[in-house]
Amino acid sequence: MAKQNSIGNATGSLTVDPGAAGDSSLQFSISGTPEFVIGVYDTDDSFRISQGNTPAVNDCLIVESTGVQRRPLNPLFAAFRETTLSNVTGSNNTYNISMDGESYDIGGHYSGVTFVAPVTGIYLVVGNIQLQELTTTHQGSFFALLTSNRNFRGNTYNTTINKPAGTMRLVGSCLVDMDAGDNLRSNIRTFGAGTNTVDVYGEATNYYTSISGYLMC
Amino acid sequence: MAKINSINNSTGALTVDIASGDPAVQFSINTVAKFKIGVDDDDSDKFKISSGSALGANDFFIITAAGECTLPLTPSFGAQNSANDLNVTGDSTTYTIIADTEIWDNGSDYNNANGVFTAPVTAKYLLCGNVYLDGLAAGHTTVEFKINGSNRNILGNGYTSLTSGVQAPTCTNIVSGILDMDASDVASLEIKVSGSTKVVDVYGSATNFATSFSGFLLS
Repeated sequence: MAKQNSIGNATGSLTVDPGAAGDSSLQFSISGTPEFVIGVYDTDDSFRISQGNTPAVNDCLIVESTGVQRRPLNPLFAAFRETTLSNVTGSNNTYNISMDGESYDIGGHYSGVTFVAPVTGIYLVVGNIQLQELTTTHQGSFFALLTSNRNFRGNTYNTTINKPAGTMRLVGSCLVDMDAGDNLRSNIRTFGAGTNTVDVYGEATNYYTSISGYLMC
Repeated sequence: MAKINSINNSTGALTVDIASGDPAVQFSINTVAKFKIGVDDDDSDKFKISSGSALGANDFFIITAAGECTLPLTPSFGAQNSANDLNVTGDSTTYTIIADTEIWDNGSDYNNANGVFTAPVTAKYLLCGNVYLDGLAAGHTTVEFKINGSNRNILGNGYTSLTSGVQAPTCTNIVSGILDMDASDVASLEIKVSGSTKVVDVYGSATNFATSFSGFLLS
């Protein structure tokens, strides 16, 4: 006879078993409204924690039979420049970098320039930028990742010697604390010239200028 | 009448349902409460796995109604250097950067007195660092920035033996990577500038991550 759902007080184990093919799950509800369901999804024998009452519909955590873990609904985004922005800095102008392309945006928390933290947590943020049309009149560039709580200084240069001209790539990455509703963006400031002649490069295929983030914990 | 916990043998689902309060399952050993899983009715119906006997006290896994997952007790730290450290390198001196102000330190594994993170368990850790250098001069030819770990090092961006000298007077160097660490292994940030005299400063800021060190237990 197939096993049945049971509470074994002698062994201390609580067994959930449909006794036939199907999902083996534990439903948590409040006053009749299904909130979360946890259990084994029979189709691939993965362990899942899902919203509502059906595994594999709104999965928050999936542990595959190999042990690989995924969090499909966790906030995650990557945005980038698809097209080049011309003449945005060079004369000490601070430019908040707008992204016109999105590769993914789980939760829809990034828009244009800014990512808004949906919950309080620690976020991994990564950014990069390619500057073009630098000349020997330019003395330096500062690339930064800015959040409501604090700013992160990425690659910078500030030089009176060995001035680079042409193209330069700057990067930044950090773990940062964000409260719910806090903002994240990146900016660039190049100085040394009298006018803004420095471009922020973009293209549709690769991440020459981008920002991405992920809720870590 | 309020619904009660039920076992439905025909569908395979075991339902925990109460009129109000936390629907939960308690895992205990010899009557000592070890872990509890369920929905926290007092905290926006978040799903939680908590140690002990109560949801909301020692939550180590939380899922919000929107599906966002947080791991509040997973080892993680972030610290920044709050003030300038003057004349620490430039003459090939290797300087261990001390990010002296902790922003967060889940598990208290980072020592803000010496800049050393100690792995609490054997695992893979994401580590990130940056340093803002000031005082670089024309004679400085090499900048080496790295995460010095017990098993191996991760090198950041820098310059090596430039005949023309490095950019001066300031630059920011970045390093990040995933490091394998055994329990009690250590990791710290190190900067070494060579080629001239010991006049290079590590910049600090009380508000921003101008020079910082952070890490997180990945898996």
